[in-house]
Amino acid sequence: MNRILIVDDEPAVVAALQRLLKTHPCRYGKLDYRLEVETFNSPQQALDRAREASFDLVLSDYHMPGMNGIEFLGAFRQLQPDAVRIVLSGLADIDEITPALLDIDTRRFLPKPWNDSFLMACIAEALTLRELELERRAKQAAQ
Amino acid sequence: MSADIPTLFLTAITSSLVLSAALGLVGSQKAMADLRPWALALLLHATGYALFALRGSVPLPVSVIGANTAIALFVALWLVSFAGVTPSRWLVYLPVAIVAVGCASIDDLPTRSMLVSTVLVFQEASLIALVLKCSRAEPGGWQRPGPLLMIVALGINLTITLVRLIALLAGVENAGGLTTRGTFQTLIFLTGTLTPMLVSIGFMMLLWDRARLRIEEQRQTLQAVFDNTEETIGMVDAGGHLLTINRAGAARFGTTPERLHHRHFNDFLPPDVATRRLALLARTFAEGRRQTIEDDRAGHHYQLSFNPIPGKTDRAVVFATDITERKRHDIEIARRMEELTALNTTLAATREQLLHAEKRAALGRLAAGLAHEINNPVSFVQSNLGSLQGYVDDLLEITDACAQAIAASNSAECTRIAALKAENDYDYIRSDIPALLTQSRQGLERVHRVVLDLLDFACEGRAEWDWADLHHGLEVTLGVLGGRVSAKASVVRRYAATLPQVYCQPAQIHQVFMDLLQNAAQAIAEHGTITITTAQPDSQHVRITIADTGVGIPADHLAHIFDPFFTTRPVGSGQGLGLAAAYGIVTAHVGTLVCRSEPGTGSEFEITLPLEAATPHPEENPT
Repeated sequence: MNRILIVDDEPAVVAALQRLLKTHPCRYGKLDYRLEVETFNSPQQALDRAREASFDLVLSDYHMPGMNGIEFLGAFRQLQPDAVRIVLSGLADIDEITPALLDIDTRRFLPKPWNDSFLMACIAEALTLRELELERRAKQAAQ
Repeated sequence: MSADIPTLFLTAITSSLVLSAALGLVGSQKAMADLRPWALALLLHATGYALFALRGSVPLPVSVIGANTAIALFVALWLVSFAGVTPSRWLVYLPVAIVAVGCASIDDLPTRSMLVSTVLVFQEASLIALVLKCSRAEPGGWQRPGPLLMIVALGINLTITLVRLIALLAGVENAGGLTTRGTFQTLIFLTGTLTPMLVSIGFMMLLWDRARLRIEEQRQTLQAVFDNTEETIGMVDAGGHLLTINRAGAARFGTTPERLHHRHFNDFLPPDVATRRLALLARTFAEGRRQTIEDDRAGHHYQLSFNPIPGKTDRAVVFATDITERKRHDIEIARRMEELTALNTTLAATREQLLHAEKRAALGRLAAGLAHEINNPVSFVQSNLGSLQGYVDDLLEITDACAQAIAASNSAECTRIAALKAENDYDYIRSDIPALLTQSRQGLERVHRVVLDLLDFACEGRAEWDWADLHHGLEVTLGVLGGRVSAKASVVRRYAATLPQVYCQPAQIHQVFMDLLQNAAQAIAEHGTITITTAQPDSQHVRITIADTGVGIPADHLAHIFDPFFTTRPVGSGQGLGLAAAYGIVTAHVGTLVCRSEPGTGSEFEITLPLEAATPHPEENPT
């Protein structure tokens, strides 16, 4: 089971994503990931939860009250640096936030509205790459 | 020679009266007012002699006192006649008083004669001293004929009186001697009678001298003004000959006044200038009033006036002022004004562009905000539709399995389900579900597309340079305009098969397309055609032509359509900035925007843009 954290201030978006992740297969090649999803409408609550539970991947909106997606992911990175960070936003221009995204070492940005299959493929790929990276690091540590 | 006494007296009286009348007549003129007391004095002189002559007929005291006092007063009046030199009052009136009192109180004739003669000597000496003093203060001194004559005549008179006084003192002369005269005495008497006449002539000469001096002084003052003014002053005759000119005027011809005197205008002026000035001169004499003209000569600009002289029909005074500098100032001021006006226009245009940019930036922010707000619900509805598709598929699978199971059991349930299916048109619902979901997704896709077009169009109000596909730009703009264009016109696209990308400010170019397309749609009254043609006139340029079948633009408006605020629409319906802004943007891209129009047929706007108006950034090459 891979643990996924979803943060968006819009409950309907959270519900739609939850629905998608629950019903849509998450496959990368032969790898088929089973996902366990936790959702939050507030980035603050999500951070509180991140202090007690670990996640493999976090999917966050950009425009949220109190704290934007970059700030949230930056804080989340401090807690769980190995989790994959993805920004999902209806923001008009990605150029505007690209530097900030790079600052928090986040390379994935998905637009709203998203394509269901593409989103699932992205998650599967990100999880695979993460696993490979963790394995490589474990090997490196063992040597 | 001997004459009887009454004749001698009569001669003296007559000469004095005639002289008095003559001088009085001359003195009646204001300029010769100095002669008036003199004439009065001569009248007193005549009176004195008349009283002497009447010695037998009137009471003695009256004639003696009157005659002597009149004579004394006569000299006193001469004394006061010297304007400018005021003698002491004692000198003037004390002798008169002494004579009057003396004559009244002294009965003895010789004593009385001695007193009167002494006073006369004193008076005459004073008069000589006064003449000397007065004439010395004036140029020429006492040696001039006038004062000299006066001094000589007075001297003679003084001598006679002195001799008589000495004779009286010595007892040689009989005090009553006037009644007994020999030839010598008669001559002496006549000389004495003649002297007032000579003194008067001398005095007149003195006055004449004074008047001449005064006139000369005035002339010199005028000459100084004439010569030292910076204006040209001259006098011309009716024929156009220069009679006089001042130094400043002559200097403007590079010569001296003497060389210009009596020369004709044609001799020293260029023909065209001379002709104009002569014509004006003729008019001055014809109309008898001042005429002015401005003309150019030798690189200078002059303002001339011809002024007729009252009472003279063949002379006019000319004034000329060099107004080159003033003119230059005027031109300079006019030029500055023009510059300011131009600057103002530029400022207005810049302000308009800024306003436009501000509006676009606002539109960009609005579009971005709107996109965000719309994208959120679109995203979850779209995703949910995907999930719904899955759910429906699953449910149908289950329904099918149930239906099969029930059909196999062949129970009453089966009949009921079949009836329910028929009632709800089950087969149609099943077949329609895919179409329903697809159409819903397509609808969402369209909403998404509109948002993207709007964003693309607004580019968030940025003026960044980038490579742009103008076909795409035209489509995006048409998409944003939507019904505003399609309601008025069918759009015909005559696009080039391939059009290279253009390095430009895409947002700005979109604005140009928007302005021109809107303009085209507004030009069409009911329904027409808008033809968009793209082409590549040469390897370095692209050309976009937007033609409409609208009302067209009248020829006299054509020159102004790109001016800010020029509009033919009613007040309030448009600011008249669209075309001006479009023109500004195209010009900023080193391109051209031209308009051809035929009223009643339509207008055609042609944009020509260079492929690279600015140097593109190396990494931004088109792919």
